[in-house]
Amino acid sequence: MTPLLEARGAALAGRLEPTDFVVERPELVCLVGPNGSGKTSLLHALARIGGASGEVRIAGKRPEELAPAARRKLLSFLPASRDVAWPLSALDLVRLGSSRAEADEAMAELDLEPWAGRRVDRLSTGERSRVLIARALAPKPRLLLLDEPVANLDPLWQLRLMQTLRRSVAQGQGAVVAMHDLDLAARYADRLVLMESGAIVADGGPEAMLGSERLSEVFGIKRVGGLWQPSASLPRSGGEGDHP
Amino acid sequence: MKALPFALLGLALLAAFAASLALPWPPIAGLLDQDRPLAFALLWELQLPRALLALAYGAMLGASGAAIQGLFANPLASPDLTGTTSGAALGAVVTAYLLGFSAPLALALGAVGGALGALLLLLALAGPRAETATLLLAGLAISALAGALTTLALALAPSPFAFYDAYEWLMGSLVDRSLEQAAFAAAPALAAIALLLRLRRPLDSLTLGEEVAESFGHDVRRMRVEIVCLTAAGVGACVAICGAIGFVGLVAPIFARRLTGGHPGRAIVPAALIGGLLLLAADLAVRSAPLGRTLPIGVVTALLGAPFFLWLVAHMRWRLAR
Repeated sequence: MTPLLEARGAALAGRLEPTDFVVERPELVCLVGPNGSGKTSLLHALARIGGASGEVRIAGKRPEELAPAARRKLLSFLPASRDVAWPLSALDLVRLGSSRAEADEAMAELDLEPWAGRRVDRLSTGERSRVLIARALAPKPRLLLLDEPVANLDPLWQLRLMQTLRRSVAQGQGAVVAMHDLDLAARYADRLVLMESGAIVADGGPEAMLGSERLSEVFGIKRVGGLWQPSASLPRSGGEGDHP
Repeated sequence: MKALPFALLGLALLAAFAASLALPWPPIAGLLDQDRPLAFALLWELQLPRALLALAYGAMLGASGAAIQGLFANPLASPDLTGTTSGAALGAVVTAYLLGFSAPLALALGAVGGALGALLLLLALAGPRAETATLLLAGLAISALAGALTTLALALAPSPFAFYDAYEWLMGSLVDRSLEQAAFAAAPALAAIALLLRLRRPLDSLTLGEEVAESFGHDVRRMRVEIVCLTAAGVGACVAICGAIGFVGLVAPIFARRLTGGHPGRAIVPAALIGGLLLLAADLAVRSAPLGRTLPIGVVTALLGAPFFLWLVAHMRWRLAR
């Protein structure tokens, strides 16, 4: 069977080492790693942004060979930035990548109907985030590539978004999602992919990954009594010895 | 996009074009009664080039202003504020007064070269998605440099009348151009507008940022090159024939986006219509002003446009302050 996503030697000069990455079937894959470890770069390489090299096939098709209309059905990319250049209405923004019916459905999914006619520059950052997420979800592409989608969302919406992503996966979509919240990622993901210095360094089921030495090492944190703590106590400004 | 405002805009444009051909009506009506062939010759050789130039130059400024604002994601970008028109004027002055070529084609090529140089310099100085301050400062620097070099070129010109000759043209004028000259400006302008229209959707998707536009499959780098080259070609050709006309390229897209719900790409068509309308209206104002002599049209657009620009800057400051 054709894998949902197959990347061979996908790379971005200076940011991402040549990377092989395969998602066989619809899954929720969470990318984790410290700042600057290459999560965004991997998403860029998969979405063919910024002159990425190597080969990427989504459901057997190379995105570069498709016209924009067909490409939107194949992949959606949500950038980490929540900036919108022009003050469109929320509905118009969602419609930039989809039909009216698709946009309405995505906005309903994220409870955005009351804001449909509101200009996005007059929404709070969290509301604007939801509008931009709805924009990415609306075309129902085979593969969702989301960079920090839960950033700026309140706890309820963090959970609701992860549930929405689970439903998308159940309906046959794949999702590769960069995240910082390890516990939230482990709770909802089928797979955790750990990145460091522009390369994938570990890949596996959430439970195994969360308890792995490698993850502790890469992040420099460890679990103490159910809470994450820095592995080594960091020197503090004006520091007088160690604080627990 | 609503149909009614577009229909009204189209009608207003037609009315302004007709008025531009037929005014001042009493002498033209009188001539039509007395000497029909002479009246038609007058319409064909004097009135038509002027109306055509106003329409094409205004539409070009509006369309390229909309495209440049969309590209830079900034409502203060426009052909004149980015130094494009000053660059074009410099190119044409150097071609005419230092190199000694005064054929319309040579002037147009010189102006296009100058405009292209100014836009490339702007991209190098300010970067592809410039902050407002960087963009305005880079544009200001380029305009100042081009202005100084234009003056220098005129001072060094062999002809002692260079300054006097160039003055009215540099201030922007549509008067006494032949139909052939009008065609040299209008044909590249209309072609450039038609080609800019192809970029409507990619420009709209730039609202979501370059990364998303690229993920849609739009080649943002190529789009940038196309917009720069088309703007340089269209505006350059118009500047070569009519001189530099300011503010239309700033104002028209800002009004146009009110008709397109903020979409920058879709605003190209209404911006072209509004630009054409503004320049036709400015030309009518020039002609009907009871001053006893003809004002350069660039003076009128600057007198109306500069306060609008100031209001815009103040408005942005208030919005940022809140």
